Amino acid sequence: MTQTGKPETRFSPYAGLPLPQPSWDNYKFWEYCKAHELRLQKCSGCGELRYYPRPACPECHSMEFEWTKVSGKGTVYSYTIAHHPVLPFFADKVPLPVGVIKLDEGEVYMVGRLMDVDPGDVKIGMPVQVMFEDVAEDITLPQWRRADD
Amino acid sequence: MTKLWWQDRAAITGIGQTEYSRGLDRSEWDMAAEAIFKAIDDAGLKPEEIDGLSTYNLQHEGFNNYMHQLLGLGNMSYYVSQPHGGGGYASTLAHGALGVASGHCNHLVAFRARARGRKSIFGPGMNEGGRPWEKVEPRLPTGWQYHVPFGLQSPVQEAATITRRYMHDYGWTEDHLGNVAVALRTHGSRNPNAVMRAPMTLEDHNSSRMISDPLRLLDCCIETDGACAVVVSTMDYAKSAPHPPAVFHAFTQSNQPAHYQLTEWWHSKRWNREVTGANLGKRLFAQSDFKHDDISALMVYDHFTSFAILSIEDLGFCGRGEGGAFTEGGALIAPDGRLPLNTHGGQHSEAFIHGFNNVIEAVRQIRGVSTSQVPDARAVVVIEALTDPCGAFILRSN
Repeated sequence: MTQTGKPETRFSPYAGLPLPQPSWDNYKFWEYCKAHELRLQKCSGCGELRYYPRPACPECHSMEFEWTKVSGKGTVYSYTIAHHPVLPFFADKVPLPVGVIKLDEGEVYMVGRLMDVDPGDVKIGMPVQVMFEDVAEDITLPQWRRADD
Repeated sequence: MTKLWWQDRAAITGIGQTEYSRGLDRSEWDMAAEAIFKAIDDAGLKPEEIDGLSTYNLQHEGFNNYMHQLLGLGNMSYYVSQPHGGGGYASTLAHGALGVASGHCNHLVAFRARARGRKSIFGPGMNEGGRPWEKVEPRLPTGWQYHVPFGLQSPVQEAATITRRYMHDYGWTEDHLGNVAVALRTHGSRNPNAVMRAPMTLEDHNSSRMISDPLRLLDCCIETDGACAVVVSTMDYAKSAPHPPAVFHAFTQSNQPAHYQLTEWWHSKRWNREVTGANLGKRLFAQSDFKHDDISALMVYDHFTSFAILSIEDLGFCGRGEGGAFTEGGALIAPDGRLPLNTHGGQHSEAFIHGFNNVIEAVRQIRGVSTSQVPDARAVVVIEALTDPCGAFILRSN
């Protein structure tokens, strides 16, 4: 695992955005994101996909798994439009649509920004496709764009 | 009914609190000390007689676990600690009461102090005053890394996504959320301890500033400074204590996903919260001598209005999805409403003490001294945040 932890440079457009600190449990997830691949843990015991990363399957309790590439297609299960920016980084990004995305593969939910979507157009059930936003040397965030345009 | 051996064997004998304010220029330690000494005095005891301590282990200045030494309390024979914030206040007290009921100690103190007002910031750390989420580190090692970089930076935004889906699935409306807000402010307006006392209408709610759609400013709790403490004693002592005892009658917990685990919240199998939530209510009332219609008042963790509605459903006061309609017609307003809710004004209007002021208000109802008193209050349900692993208990009169 690459040792990280440096704040992003103040000259980056992402300065001030708090970033994930990869750990022994999840660094592979973040490394695949860095390569613009959405890979999740797939349980070798029962085949269940899981996110966020964790050492054992909550369904069958197997500790064996593979990092499996998923389609990156999903729908908006729920969402909010943030009008109050809590952190300064988001001050010029409100109103900010953020979705809870349900992946087409099944019972996997991921939180991500809905990029390039008019806040007034966001609806539950809206199809979305993953996209990758490189925000730091070692971190890429999986975000979402409309898939029905 | 499944009666458990510890039921009705401990009672709250003392309550204490500080002034509540948006900024008191005091440390959490200082405020906790005042509330604890007041609660001990209210119970008719001396600090040296306290032999049990129950604490939160989340977000404090590092003093909590040593309060017995720092304040010169008695010879301790029982400690317990409970995680979570709003999901800790009922359980902090309940685990303490279990220690008293089981004979591990005679008089136990449980408390909470918060310095969340912006004026109270004294350092850059997350637990050095103010709102923790406004002071996050550049790198996030916890589950926050799956929310904060993506724009869900604080509980209101997480709660908004949960609220949105319930409104979609069950037809909860803006007015339903507003009914909760109005009930809380109505109670707050009668309470001289409350920080927010100006009357509020449904129109005020529905036109208030959008914070994180669909949650508006008046769907959100306030952020304040203050502390609360209670003393739990054996029933032998409680019967002769200066004030009528609030008897610890029933208690259970359940495995709800947390607000910072939206990946789990909606999963239809894993920790299915529709089931775990309803099971919490079923277990609580299975222990109870009281049925739903016997409950005088309900104290919920009202960080956001929608979770008051969800609490009403989970506890079984109505069916799943019926909580929105339940709020209509002044149902939540004392003294005449069907289920008076947070009769002190809750975390919306009285103060944000991570819910611990809800316990104090439940005791006041049992003692008959609330500023929104329900006549002949005999049993009060207290439930903590549904956005953490969650507990609930029932206090009864003796």
